[in-house]
Amino acid sequence: MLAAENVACTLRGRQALRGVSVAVGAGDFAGVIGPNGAGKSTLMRALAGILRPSAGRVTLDGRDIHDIPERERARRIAYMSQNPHVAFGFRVIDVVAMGRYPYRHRFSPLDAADREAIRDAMEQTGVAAFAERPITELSGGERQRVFLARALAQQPEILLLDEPIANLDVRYQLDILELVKSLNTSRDMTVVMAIHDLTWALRYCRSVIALREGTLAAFGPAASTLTDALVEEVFHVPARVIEQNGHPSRVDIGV
Amino acid sequence: MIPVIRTARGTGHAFVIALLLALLVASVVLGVTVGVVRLPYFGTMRVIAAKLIPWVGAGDAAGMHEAIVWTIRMPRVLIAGIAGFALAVSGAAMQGLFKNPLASPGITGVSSGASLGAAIAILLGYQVMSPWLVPAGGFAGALAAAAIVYALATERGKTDPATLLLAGVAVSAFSSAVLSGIYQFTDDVVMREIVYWLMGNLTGKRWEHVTTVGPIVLLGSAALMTLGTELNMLAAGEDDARAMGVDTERVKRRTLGLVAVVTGAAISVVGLIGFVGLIVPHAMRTIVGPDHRRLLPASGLLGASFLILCDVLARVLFAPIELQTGIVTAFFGVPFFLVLLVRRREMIGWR
Amino acid sequence: MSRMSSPKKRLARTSALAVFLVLTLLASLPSQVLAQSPMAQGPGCTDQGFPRTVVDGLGNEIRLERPPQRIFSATLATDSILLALADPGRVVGVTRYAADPAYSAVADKVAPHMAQIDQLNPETVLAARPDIVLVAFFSSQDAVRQLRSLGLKVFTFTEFNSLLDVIENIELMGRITGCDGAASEIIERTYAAYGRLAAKIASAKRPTVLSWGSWGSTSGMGTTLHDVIQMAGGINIAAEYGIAGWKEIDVEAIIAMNPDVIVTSSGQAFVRKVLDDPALRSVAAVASGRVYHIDHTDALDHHIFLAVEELAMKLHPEAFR
Repeated sequence: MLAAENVACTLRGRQALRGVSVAVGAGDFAGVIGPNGAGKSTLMRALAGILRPSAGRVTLDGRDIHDIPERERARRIAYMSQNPHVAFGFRVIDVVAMGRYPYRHRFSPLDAADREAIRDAMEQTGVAAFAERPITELSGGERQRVFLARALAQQPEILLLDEPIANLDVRYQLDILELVKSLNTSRDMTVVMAIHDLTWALRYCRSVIALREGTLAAFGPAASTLTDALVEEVFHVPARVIEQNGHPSRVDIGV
Repeated sequence: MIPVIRTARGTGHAFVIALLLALLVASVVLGVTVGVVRLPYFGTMRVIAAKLIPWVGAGDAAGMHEAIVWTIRMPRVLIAGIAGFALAVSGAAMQGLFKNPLASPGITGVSSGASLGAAIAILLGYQVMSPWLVPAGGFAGALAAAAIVYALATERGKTDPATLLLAGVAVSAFSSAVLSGIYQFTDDVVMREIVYWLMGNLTGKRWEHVTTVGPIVLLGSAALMTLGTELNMLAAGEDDARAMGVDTERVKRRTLGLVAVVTGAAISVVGLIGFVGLIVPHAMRTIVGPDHRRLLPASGLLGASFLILCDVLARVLFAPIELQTGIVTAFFGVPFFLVLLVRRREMIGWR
Repeated sequence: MSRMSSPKKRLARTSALAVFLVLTLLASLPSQVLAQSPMAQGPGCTDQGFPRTVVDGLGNEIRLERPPQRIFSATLATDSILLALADPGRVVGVTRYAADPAYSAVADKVAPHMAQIDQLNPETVLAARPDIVLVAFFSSQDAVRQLRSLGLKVFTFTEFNSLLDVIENIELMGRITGCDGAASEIIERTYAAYGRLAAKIASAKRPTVLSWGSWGSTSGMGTTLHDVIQMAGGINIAAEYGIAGWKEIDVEAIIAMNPDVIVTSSGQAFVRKVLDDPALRSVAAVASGRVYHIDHTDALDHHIFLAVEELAMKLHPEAFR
């Protein structure tokens, strides 16, 4: 469905990605792993269609993503950047409503479909209670859920999340991961998520994209791809993938 | 602390707009009835009524009274309103574009460009030749500065806001340097003209100024207001806004261009008047909220009233000496900043 | 053709004619009184030679049907000359500097009925209902245009850079106000005084003179002060060095120029400052103590000749013993 074909990206004169080819099928839950600077965010932005590759191309259902009009693309792909943030004290409901931009015409107010999508998104992420409050008054975890709601308000087929749980309490990390998983399983939403924690990646992702210094180190089903050897190669640390009940269940680092 | 009057529906906002319109009308009335020469209030009202309603005559207010009210004061008040509107709307748009509540219309070098353009026109003696050459010079300077700043900050169609700011600073610095050079090499009289122009003044503005600048400002401001939703989206950051389908480059380009035109037009006629584009949107945001669809029109209306009232003060505070209007706006601007600073320190928690 | 009219008819006709004449006279009397009242004119002023057309410094032709009776002067220069020539009753507005003795030699002629302005203020001018407005080329052009658009006659003075300009401005003012006689009288007096002065200092050696002020600028060629120095029997050293107009100069330049005399209008305190300045010790003027404050060097009317005289006395004291 969403694929990168031999993609290279240059950022600030530096080659951030080189020769990366991956394909994410419909309904997949792919985790993008790698150390800082490996190119995770760059790949996410390229896949989202907001960063133009210097070589190769990103395709959505076979079409070059940059040939697709922005609004149409935004109705199908929602992207949440790392550390999202909104300037000024917009209310939660206003922030979530931004996600309806791809569906709205310039001067029309929110219609019924818009309002329903917004309400649905807020309820799913559990922020409906904060609707009227300025986003600046919320805690980190609450804010992250609002941004997730905004992405959901786009009613996308594909959800691209760049490190959505990086700075959150464990409890909120779990909340969001569970929510995203349920979106993936019950709503058939394709998810690509850049993630730091390898154990979470192992537990939640069905496939894994491993990046190392801008190149693709490995790509495939999580269970078979995320091995001790891969972790050592990509992260330069000794690691052991621990199984439980026959499934890989966590990654221990430094053993 | 000004309460935030916002509701999900439009009713609270409609009330605010109505209030601002009433304030504007009151300001215009005040501006026309008050002045260096004391004129009876009802006579002035009669003159206005006579101009607006065909069958009403000016009566004994005809002649000098009528001339003062309609030929001297009314165009001046309207120009103040138009310029205030232009600066406030532009300021709100710039604050949205740069996600910075302390941005001002001139932040991209537009004011400096206008100053230099006008100064060169004055230097070349255009002031005496035609009433339009100096404003035209100012306008050209404003557009040139905007074009240069945009070109400096844009690579392959992508405009970087941080570079825009730096380029704006560079253009401003350059203009100042050239202006200083001009002062060195011309005589006192030209220098005095330029400085006088730069201080911002509304003396001698006529109906032709109103009919020329008015449409430009109103059309340009209307175009800016249509970008309200996009300016809101920009607040989410460029990546996220683009991901939601906003053509951020186009929004930036349009906003910069329109602000250059609107601000350039205003400055070219009234000179440099600061603080309006900074204080008014900033204050208005605490009342109507950050939604630019509401903020831009509300700021415009308040800006118009504010400048008209500042001009009234400029005219009568030390009569017969007339202050430069820019000095009165600065007078309000500085304490406003101090208050902002103090509140910010409290917020951060400094003792 | 008529028959021989009876005495009664003749009397009736004569009376009718008389009444008609008296009525006509009465009807025209107010304008006659205004036009010819000696009070309103002042000495040396008449309404002869009107209507006349005067041309201002910008080439605008202004037609005056009769001598203006409600003159609004919007610059100090025109205030001074106007009040020296015409009766204050004909002046309806001046600048506030005219009333300040520190700036104006005619402060005592400013009367309460005159409106006072700071900058050219169209409202105040209009409210005074003037029949002519006198401005300078540095007055706000927008304000001037506004006054013209209101139908007022505006006369722009443009030359303020030499002693000859002062003379011409006095002449112009005389033409405008109908006070040609008064103007000629002032000019002749001034020329005569200057003639006497020139005779006294004709053979004297001319010292080099530098004008300098607390603002750090000097007056080069093409300024009134340049003329004052030349006419007082000095050589304007700034002009010798190619300086034109008013320009800032620094201390090094002064040392290089090494003037014999330094003159200023910035007061005795400034004189003292110059004399005490260690950097200037080598300058001839400072070494010999010839640093003078001269009054009236800022005058824009015939009082500037007082500055010429005062400076001449300082430059050539031996000629005046």
